Amino acid sequence: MNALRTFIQTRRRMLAAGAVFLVVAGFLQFAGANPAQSQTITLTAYPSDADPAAPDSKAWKDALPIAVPLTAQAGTYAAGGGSIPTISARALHHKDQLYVRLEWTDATDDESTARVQDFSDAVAIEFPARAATSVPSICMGQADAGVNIWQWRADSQAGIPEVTTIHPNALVESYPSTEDLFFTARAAGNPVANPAIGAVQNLISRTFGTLSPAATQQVLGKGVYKDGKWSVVFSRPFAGPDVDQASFSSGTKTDIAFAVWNGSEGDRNGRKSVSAFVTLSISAQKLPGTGGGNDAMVLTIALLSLLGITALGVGLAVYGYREGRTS
Amino acid sequence: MEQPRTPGRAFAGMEPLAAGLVCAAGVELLVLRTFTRTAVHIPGIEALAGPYNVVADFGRFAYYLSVVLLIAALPALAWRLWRSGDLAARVAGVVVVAFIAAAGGARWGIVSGYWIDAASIGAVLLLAAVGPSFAPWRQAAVAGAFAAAFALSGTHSLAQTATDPSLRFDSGGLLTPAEVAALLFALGTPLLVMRQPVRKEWLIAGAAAVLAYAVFAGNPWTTRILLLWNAGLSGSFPSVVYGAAAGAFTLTVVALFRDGRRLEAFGLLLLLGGGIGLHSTYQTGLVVAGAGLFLAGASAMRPGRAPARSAVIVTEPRGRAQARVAVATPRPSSSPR
Repeated sequence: MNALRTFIQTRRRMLAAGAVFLVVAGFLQFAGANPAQSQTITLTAYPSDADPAAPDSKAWKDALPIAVPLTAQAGTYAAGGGSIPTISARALHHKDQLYVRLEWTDATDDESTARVQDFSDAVAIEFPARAATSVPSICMGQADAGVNIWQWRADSQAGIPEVTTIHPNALVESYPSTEDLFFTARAAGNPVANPAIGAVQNLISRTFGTLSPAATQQVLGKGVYKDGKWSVVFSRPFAGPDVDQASFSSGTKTDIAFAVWNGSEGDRNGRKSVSAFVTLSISAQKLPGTGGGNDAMVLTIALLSLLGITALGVGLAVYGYREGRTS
Repeated sequence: MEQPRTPGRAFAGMEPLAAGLVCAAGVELLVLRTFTRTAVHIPGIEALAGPYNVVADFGRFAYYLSVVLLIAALPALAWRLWRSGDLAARVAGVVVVAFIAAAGGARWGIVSGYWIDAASIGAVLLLAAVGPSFAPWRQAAVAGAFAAAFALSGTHSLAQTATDPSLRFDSGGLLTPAEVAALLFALGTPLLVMRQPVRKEWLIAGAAAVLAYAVFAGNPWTTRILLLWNAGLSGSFPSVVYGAAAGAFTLTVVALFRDGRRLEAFGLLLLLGGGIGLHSTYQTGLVVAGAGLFLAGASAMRPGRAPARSAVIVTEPRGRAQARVAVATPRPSSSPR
């Protein structure tokens, strides 16, 4: 009888505890209060005194880079890609404008798509839209959490080459019509065909099939190919023009992801190398510099604790082993 | 009130909480981290936005429930480690408390990202470091392999988080050894099964291995990026290696459950749910809880530290009355089913 009573009391206690856990979890979800803290790699944008718009600006010398691993594009079909294993990213802010500098190794400079078999090198950054209520799907966002994508293309920066530079023996008799109507892609609103947009497209998306140009195109970008490496700098004012675009401010964090297209490998559209989201922190503080932070102290404490407790663990193990042999 | 002096007995009360945490984390892993990230690839999914959102909300609820259970489980684990009376277990308890404090401090902005990252790697390494004195060598070796994978992958992040440029280094080379250590951990888990697995266990493990291999070989792009997001592994080795690892891990978990070694099984499952490397304090918390529960469960298997021995008196009426007294050591929780 006592055993039965104990069993019932135990069951009641467990049910009560379970109910409390469910209610607290429901409350946290309702309130959107996440007790966990992100530990993903953080790209910190420190304030810069100099204008970092050029990829070779001296302002980038002290900006701390992060190396972000890239993989092939996921999908229901084999999109492929993945020929670029990592991308190096740095970020700064200057006069309420965000600058992101991306650098990756690419053996070939592919900046012409004049022939049908050619594809362009390109790079893109993805942010959650200002209206996103949760971290969006990295694959073009989702219905309740859109994404804002900035794509820089080498061919858009290089412009349309003369036909005779691609096909030296070609003969062009005449093409007198210069109105947009005769440039069908441009007339249809294809931003890639419009040289006035520049090297960077500012895009928004809420899921597959919804990728479209943003209403305002104020993202600037410049790329330089040197010594087998591309260096590209993106920039845009902090304030997002609408809720479908990313918005930044000093002292806040958001998510950022990267994608690279390697033209010589046939990368285009979904065929590319992509990263997962990492954290972008817009710091209000200046970069501490060597010895300026307390990172070295943290590392020393951690290493000393580790060595001490490892020694304790090994010591106790040896002691226990000897005790076991003598008993 | 009597102080429990044997680790095995001290942790018996953790099982319901650990079981709840494993279930909630498992649903969160399958629904939120896997399904919602994969379903967006289905053509025309927007037509099913209603059901999709219901499933996604359910996954988010599982996440919050898992966080709440983790917040309850970590102090309970630390308290029981302390109460077990074993010095090494007490050190492990202090390590768990230190992680709780660091994670809480990071959430409220008191502790910097570098502190919590270093504390996370340190906590997992420290738990593994006390392992040799706390658990048998097989369990200590398995926990050590996981801790090595976690630390190598975590150091890759830590090296890029330092604000002091002199502490930064090109850490990309750490990721492959981390992947190797993680695979050795999974492939080495059958060391924990200290008997010949039965046919049913082989069949279940074989099915898991074939399924994992088929998924890897069939759609390596999606599978590998899911593996990277969920567990911190790049999936850069041949598919057959991951199939074998999945089979070995499944074999071990099934065998541990059948042997009644539930805390060890729960611990392994939580390590799987947390993955290697630094993702969030939630996933690191799963790893810390998993390592703690695994070693706590394993402590009962250490010779000389088994649960309270029971004296069994067997009387055999023979020609001359005699009694044989045997001291039997029961299995940690229950006999194999």
